[in-house]
Amino acid sequence: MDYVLTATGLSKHYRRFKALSGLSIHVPRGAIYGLVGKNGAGKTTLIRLICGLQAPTAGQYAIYGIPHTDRAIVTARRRMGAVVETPSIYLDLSAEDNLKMQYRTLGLPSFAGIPELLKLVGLSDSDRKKAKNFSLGMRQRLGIAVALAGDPDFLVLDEPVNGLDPQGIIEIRELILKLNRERQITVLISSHILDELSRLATHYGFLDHGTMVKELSAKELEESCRKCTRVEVSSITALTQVLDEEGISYTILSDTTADLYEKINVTHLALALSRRGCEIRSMEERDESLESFYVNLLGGGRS
Amino acid sequence: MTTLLSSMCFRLRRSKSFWCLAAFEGIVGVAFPILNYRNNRRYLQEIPLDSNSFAFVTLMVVLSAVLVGLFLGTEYSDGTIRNKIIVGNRRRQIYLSNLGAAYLGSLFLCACFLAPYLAVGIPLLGFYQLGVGAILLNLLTAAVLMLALVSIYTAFTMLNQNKAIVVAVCILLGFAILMVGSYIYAALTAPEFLDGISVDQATGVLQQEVIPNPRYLRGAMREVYQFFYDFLPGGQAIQLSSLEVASPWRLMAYSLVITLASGAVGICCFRRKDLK
Repeated sequence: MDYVLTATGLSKHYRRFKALSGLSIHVPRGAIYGLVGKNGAGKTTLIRLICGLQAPTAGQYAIYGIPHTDRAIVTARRRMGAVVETPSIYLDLSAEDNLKMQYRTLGLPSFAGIPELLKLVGLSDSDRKKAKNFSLGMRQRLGIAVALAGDPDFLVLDEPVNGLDPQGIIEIRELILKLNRERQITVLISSHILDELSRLATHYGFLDHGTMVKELSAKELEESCRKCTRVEVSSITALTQVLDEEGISYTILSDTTADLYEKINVTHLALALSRRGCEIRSMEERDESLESFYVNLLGGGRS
Repeated sequence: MTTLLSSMCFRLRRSKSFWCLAAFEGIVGVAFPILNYRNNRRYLQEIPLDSNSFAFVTLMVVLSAVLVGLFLGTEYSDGTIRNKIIVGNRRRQIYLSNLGAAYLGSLFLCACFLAPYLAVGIPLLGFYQLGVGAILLNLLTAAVLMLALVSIYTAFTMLNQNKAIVVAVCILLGFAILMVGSYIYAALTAPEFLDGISVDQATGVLQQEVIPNPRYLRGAMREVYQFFYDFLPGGQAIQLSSLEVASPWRLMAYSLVITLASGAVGICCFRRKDLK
């Protein structure tokens, strides 16, 4: 697989505090990679490292296959854009002037792309209004526009919907999806709002205590989170016989419990089990979400 | 690096605080020759154009601190310095472009004083009594001194991420630079002898006598004070503002040493700095 970002054994220590400890990550090209973890898990530290704001204590990461220790990493970074924590914008400048600043920083010869960029993020009508008078959502969108100024292939967004109202969240979500689908931009996104992340991400990385606990695709997550019916019976043998006969897929959890992964006819199942002398003790529908997967994986707590 | 410098100069042009400082310099530049002209007429004095024409140097010790603190401090307070690093600019380039933009801004502020001073002063007070060559040499010395001052403030600003602290400390540093310069100047200009009065014990008659000043600097101590008067920006600013620069080339060399030292320390620390 072609990866935009890879890291192995990445560590970052602040004196005695280990923010990252031997972390590894693999962000495939074209993915929307959701970074999930509790506060202090190391999400922002990881983003700071890959953005070059801080240097790792140990380990290595590579952007487009170029190791961070290589001087050519500069060229790889040219293909990157990021919004780390708060949007990095000049508050005393207008949206257009902020973009002009970034265009000049990038050495772009013309400002011709600015109106299109403003339109893309929905700030065309901001006129000469200064960024300090923008709403949080507008600032966030301007931050993304600044990150997009260099026409990057890889966008890093740290908590982009934090503090936004529902409308702002929807706008940012649609913008990210649009960038990913229409411009094929790979997005690395960290968020506390798991429900929101589950609407976007094609891949997930679960961080805890500075290490990557699990990386999986949305498809794999869906498979492990798929809807099921948990059934508790008096005889698991009788249940498996009936399920095999009916061709229903299942997972046995204990001597009395199993998860059934297809829609079942309860009456039919109950009669079939009854004929084998087996009784149903309980039956409940389970719909495991990203949140419950996260809780199961990392043990819950404050996210 | 030119692209970074260009973007910083663009922001400087859009900065309100920069234009406020420029307006202040301009007002002071106009006020000095008018006041001198009024005093010349009222008290029949002959204050020349030369006097106060380099007053901007002492002003700039503090104003450049305000400029650097506000202008470069915003890079951290608004978080925009991250945009430059993320897209692959090297930290050394970012540091030098910030230094360059702040220096160009400081030179512009100097011009904002001098242009109106000369425009108003020449018709009212006449031309410089000092030769044009000497004035230009002093201007060059002042320009190099500005570089040293901006370099010191830039090093401090680039290594601290709190804008409020940076601005406050830069201003205090500016005043401290001037105070140290003034102290050394006062020590060096202390008279060697003082007029004293003694009473003749036999006749009871008062006698005037000249007594040695205990605070007068002699020998090696005087040389040390003289060195720091020439070396430190505060001492240089006082010499320039009174147009009493004995050896401008030496002063420029000292300013360049300060610029290089503060720049090297600043770049070295900034390259290793963890940014948030």
